[in-house]
Amino acid sequence: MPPESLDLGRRDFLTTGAAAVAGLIVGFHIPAAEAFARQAPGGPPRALPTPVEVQLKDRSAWSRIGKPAKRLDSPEKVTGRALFGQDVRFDGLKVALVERAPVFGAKVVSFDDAAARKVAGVRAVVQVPSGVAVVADHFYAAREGRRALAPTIKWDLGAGGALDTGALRAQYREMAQRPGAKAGAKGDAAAEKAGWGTPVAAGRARAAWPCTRRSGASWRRWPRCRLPVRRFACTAS
Amino acid sequence: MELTVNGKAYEVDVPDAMPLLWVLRDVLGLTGTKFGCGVAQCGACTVHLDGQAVRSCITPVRAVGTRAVTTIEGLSADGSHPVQRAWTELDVVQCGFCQPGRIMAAAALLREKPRPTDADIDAALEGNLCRCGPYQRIRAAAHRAAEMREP
Repeated sequence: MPPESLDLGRRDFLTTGAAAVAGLIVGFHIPAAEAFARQAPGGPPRALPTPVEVQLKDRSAWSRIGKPAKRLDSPEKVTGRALFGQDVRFDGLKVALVERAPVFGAKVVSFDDAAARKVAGVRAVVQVPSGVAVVADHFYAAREGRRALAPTIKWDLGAGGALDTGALRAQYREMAQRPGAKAGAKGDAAAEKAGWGTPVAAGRARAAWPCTRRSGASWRRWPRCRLPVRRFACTAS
Repeated sequence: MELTVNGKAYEVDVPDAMPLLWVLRDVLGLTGTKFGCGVAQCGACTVHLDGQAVRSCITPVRAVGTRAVTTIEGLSADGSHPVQRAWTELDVVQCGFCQPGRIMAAAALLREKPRPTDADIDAALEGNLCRCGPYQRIRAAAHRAAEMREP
């Protein structure tokens, strides 16, 4: 059930469907949230009639809004017990690091995995859409394997190989002169946009956003390894 | 190779060039110490060797020798170290990813300088980066921890 199908205008809806809404708002495991909502007294939120009149709580009755609240997650975060995506561990977990294409659109022509496979702990070297992945028992082996692999990869850089910041800026300037979709008209947009540009580096994420995935019947994915994992989401799988 | 981590003796069979960080996280399962940058630029991997703060991501395990390793899991048994209590009292953490390393750095600072100045705190913790940005609370909590240590 996508969030936009929920009608959030009614308190009794929120009460009945609270579990489902909580699941949807924090954005994980929607099937589990749906299943929970189906079992809730009153049935799933969708079965409720569309509200006619919305009764909002009087400001004088607010108990939380506008008042500072103590964090609840400090104890586990200051002791190292808080689980982040990169901390997920389960039997059979392997670590994969990808040697990525140096430019967008580049393709792997060939590689030699012999040296990478000689690194203790490396289990497999696999070509993937973004480059070549080294799969290992732990991060260190994957990193050493990737180091050994990297110089052996031959890339077809394609059209991206000729691009640099100067070429991109020229391209953006040229594109800015073409007519685009019109959302409104205010001021002298043509004159304003003549000098615009974005440094390529500014648009690039500074940190990797890896993820952990368990395959098989109990599959689950923990994206974004630096974000805290919600415990009840883990146990739900 | 023998290691003492949080007061417990371990025998680990790993390449001696393996950084301590990965021995802790991937071999011993102590995931409280975080992997941020891997090149000693962010401080998330900070642990103690005989009470001194080091970046475990660039410390080969062979360099540990007989020194005692302390990680965030071993700083106190129950989160009662003054730095942990001050951090909780002042709601320092946000996402919390950098905090294990930062707390270890702060604990090492207080051991050396029980009454640090603002400048001492800034200097000791400048290598611990935070993307949430609670730097004012971090400084206040470091002073609070100093008070809790020696009221």
